[in-house]
Amino acid sequence: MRFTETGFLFFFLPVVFAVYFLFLRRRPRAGNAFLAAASFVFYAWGEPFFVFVMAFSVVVNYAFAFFMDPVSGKKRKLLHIAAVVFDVALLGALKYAAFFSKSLAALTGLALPVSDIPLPAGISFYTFQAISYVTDVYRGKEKAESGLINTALYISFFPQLIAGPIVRYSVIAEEIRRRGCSSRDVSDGIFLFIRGLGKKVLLADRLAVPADAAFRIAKSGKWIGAQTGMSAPMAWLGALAFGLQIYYDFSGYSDMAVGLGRMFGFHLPENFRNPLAAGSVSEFWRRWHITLGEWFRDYVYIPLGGSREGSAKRIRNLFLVWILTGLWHGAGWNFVLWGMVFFTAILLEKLPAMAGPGKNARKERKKGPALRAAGHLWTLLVFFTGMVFFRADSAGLAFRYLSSMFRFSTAGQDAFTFYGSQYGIFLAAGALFALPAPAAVRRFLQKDTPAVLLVKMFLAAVVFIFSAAFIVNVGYTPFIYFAF
Amino acid sequence: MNKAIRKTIIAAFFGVLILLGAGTFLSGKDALKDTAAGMKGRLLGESASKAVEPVLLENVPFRYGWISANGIFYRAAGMEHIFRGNGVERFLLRDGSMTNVHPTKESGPVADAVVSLSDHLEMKGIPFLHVFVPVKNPDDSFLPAGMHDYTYENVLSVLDVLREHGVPSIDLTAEMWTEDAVPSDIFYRTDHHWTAESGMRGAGIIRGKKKDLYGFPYHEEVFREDCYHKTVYEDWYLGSYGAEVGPLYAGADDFSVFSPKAETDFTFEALDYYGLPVNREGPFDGTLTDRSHIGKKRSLSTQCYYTYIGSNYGICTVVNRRSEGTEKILLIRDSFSGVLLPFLCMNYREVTAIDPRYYPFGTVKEYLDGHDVDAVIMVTGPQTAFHEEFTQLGFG
Repeated sequence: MRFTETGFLFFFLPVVFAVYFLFLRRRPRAGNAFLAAASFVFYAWGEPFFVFVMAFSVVVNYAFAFFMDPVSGKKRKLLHIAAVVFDVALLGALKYAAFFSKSLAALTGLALPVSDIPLPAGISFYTFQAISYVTDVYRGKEKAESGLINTALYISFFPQLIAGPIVRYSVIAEEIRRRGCSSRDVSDGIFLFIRGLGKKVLLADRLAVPADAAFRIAKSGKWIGAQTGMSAPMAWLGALAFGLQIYYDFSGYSDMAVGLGRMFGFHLPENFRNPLAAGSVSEFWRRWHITLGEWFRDYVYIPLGGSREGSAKRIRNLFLVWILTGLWHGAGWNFVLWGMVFFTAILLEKLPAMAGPGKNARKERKKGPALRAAGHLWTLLVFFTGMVFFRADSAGLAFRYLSSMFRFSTAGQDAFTFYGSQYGIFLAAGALFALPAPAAVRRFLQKDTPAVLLVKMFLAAVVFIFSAAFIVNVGYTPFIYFAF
Repeated sequence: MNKAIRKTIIAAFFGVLILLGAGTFLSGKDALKDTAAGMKGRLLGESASKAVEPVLLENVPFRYGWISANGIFYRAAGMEHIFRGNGVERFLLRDGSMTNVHPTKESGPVADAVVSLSDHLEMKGIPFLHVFVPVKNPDDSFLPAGMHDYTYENVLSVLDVLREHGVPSIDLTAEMWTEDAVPSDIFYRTDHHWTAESGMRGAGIIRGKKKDLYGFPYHEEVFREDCYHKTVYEDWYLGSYGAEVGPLYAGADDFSVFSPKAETDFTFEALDYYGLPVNREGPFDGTLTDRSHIGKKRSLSTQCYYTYIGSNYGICTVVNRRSEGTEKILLIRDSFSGVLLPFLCMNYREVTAIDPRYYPFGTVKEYLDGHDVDAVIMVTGPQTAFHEEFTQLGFG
């Protein structure tokens, strides 16, 4: 089920919320059981077969944590390794088998069988949560859940099941066991949910039109059935539109997920913090898909040694994290290359620090406006060009697309004229809303006064009406990150 | 105070959702039951989302309001491009009309089919005329900047081949588009079809050409508006494009219904979509027009266009019992002939119209082999001409 389906908006959400809020919000055990059951229904609605795979994952991870918690030493370590191997194997079998067999076949020329199992929605997300659960229990950060229901709720909680935020177990464990659900939480949750809905429906889905057109032209060399070249302006327009589309699509989903969590008393972590305003690529990744970055930091980068064991190992660790980040997003070489773009950019930024961290830190603080502007431009350049690898179907298409961006050909200018004039307003709005709101606006919106609440209520009503109008008229479109 | 406002917000939000859910359920419960029954035994294989969501969307209450709100958004954002997914796109033209565009297409299959039909008829000594109805965007001057429509280029490339082979043909775009015309002079603004006025004009041009070519009698006055009573339903019709965005995006069209001032007497026989017979007889008004299709003003579901003739029947036959002539005409048609056929019938004894897309009894060739006709006219829209059914008439 998707948050933008009428089935979710008009049936699932009000029914689940009403039952929970009216009868179960003060009864954590029954409330958790209800929410876990609702989450399985939510998943089964769209994935009637793979819900059993998720249930299997829940039971296995619950069992590993349950048996691991009371023991120590080697046995504990072995159980942890077995649990992680199980999770990675499940993900590998369902997401990467076809990629690896195709790649191996291409490399060796062998005729290897290629899996044609469709990718279960959200498997990358709930598997990472499962790994977080067994790892946090292994590390002693949290106790294993004694009952299956809490584990099931943690792994399958419907707001963040399909596309995150990836909530580390230690962050949410306490709220799974005990939480409130105030009218403030619920109303703030509603505002967040509607903000996310608007981001997705009113911005991301509009920006998808020029982005899709540009990548279609790049792939087919045709526009409206006629052969055409790809002009540099159109290539840039497509790249900018896709960059903004994915930002609003994914941050919209995250807002909706966090908002839904709030409605049920959970304070899920924020996933985006104005990433397009970042002054460096490293900073960008501290603001973009924050929970994935933190997951890789806590469960991969730091266990590998992080930045503490010398420059060479630090570079190796960064490299591994970015290879995995790329592969996590998709089983394709274009995603590996996408990861490498960010690895290279971050490495370039970190190299001076590796040479002399103290001096560099001082320089960082003393950056003048020109350097800061250059940092922003560099970040945006890396982001928007890097996203070409993300959007392209293949590495070959990505390189062709990038060459169009920098070839400065004017052939096929009409597509740019059309999409630029029709969708310029959405690009402008997308760019504007990606920046942090002015301090005065932020201060105003943070006030807890009746006037502010009424302003928020009015804005939310407008956004909801126009978003619902699109959904009713045109139908829903899937979120990009559902594919992961 | 704040707590009360917050509680109001919660009640309002979930109240609206519950209201919409209940309305959707009540309106669509039968369809939902059917969907659920259809899913039995396939529960593990089919996503309920995919099966149920279209049914829910169809039954959301206040649909008119939602679609209108969507139109307001498009309008407020200055959008002249409406993208509806799955390749469905609409464009707002400079005169406020809506349209779609088409890519370049191969003329070969269409031209070959028409040439084969023409050759076959020539052998049998049956006169033939091919007609392309007008194109809404003959050039790109009304389209948003940068957009192209290849529809007329496709038409012209077919016509080139037809002329090479000596097939008599009419390009109504060239005939009807005057220098200062705008699309809404010929077409409904909110639909891809031409207006009833244009259909009457088109029928006159076709009839005149038949007279020039074959010497059939021609009563020019039956193609003049002043020979008809005209009822105009103002600001009434939301065509297929208009129904997608509501009346606040491109407005609604006036819809005219004509009724001859002279006495008329017709019979009309057709087979409907389900193969059931449709029979009417009597005067023009009520036999060749059916005002029940006028429906409600600015309704999303009213199909005013079907007021003329009724529907895209696979086959229908009209006999003009007051005609002095004896010609039996076969019209190979698509939906554009809806507003053309009644006026054409004013000047012929008998017209049988076949829409190859819905004709259930084989090919046009098979029909011609089994029936005597005096002439064949093929009238197609610039898009339907490229449909598979129009390229497979049985002469290949």
